[in-house]
Amino acid sequence: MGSSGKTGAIPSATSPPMCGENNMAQELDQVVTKLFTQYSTAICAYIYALIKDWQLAQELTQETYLKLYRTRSRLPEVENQRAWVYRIAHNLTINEVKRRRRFTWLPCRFTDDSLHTNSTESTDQINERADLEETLKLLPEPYRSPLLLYSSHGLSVREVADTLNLSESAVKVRLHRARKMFRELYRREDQL
Amino acid sequence: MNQHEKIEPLLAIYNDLEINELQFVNQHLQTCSACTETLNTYQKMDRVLNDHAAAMETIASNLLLLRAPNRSPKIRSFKQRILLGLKNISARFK
Repeated sequence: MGSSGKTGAIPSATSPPMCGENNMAQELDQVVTKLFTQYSTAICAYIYALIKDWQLAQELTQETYLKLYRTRSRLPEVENQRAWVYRIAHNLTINEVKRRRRFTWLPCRFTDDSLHTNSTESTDQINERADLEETLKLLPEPYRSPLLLYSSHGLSVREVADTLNLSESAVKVRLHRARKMFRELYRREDQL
Repeated sequence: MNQHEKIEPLLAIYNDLEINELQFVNQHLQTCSACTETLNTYQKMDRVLNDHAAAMETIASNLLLLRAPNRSPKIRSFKQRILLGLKNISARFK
């Protein structure tokens, strides 16, 4: 915004900086749109894995886009854009969960979304998915997020650390513990 | 700390190891069947979780209907939002 926020001002030949700023703003808008297009489904799936509510996951995905847009001026400083998008989504989700816990007297819309299925899935695949989700639900949140980001979404240890605002060594410890817990909890041991 | 205790945390991040760590782990794996089994388990775990995420992404893309924005969202100032609210209210009473 700043000086370039004056709408309707026609940039003259004597004002090249404003033109540069506009180009920069346009570039950032394009980067935000590209990031959102690239990661929206993965982000929605990640949020769903944390909260088990598709409707809320969709809303929070849209919120992630808005937050990404609002903070787009910081994008040039961002080292890893994928981790940045995941970080915004993760923080929004955790805040929403906390907010809902605080206002417990309000009707909570967390629903069992097991009815949402991929039409190409067989019954066995659906059951397997249910078992897996049950296991993930049993993992404490500090262990669930690193495992989801690393194993499900393919982020590196560095990216997981950036997303969760942790040190790399903390992520390594959590991943180790998360894997041990998951191994013990997952019912379909024959698959592991 | 025995060898297993040193190796186990590294197995959890096997795909992300530095070259020297990877050499250290691989050397141990050649002689240790327990750690090899743990690594196989973790790799299967990654596969199961990754497949699950892919299935979730398919559902998510159907739900989101991939509303990829063509333009940037309009951010309104507080004053603009108040004026818009008043306009909507007055429109209701017309």
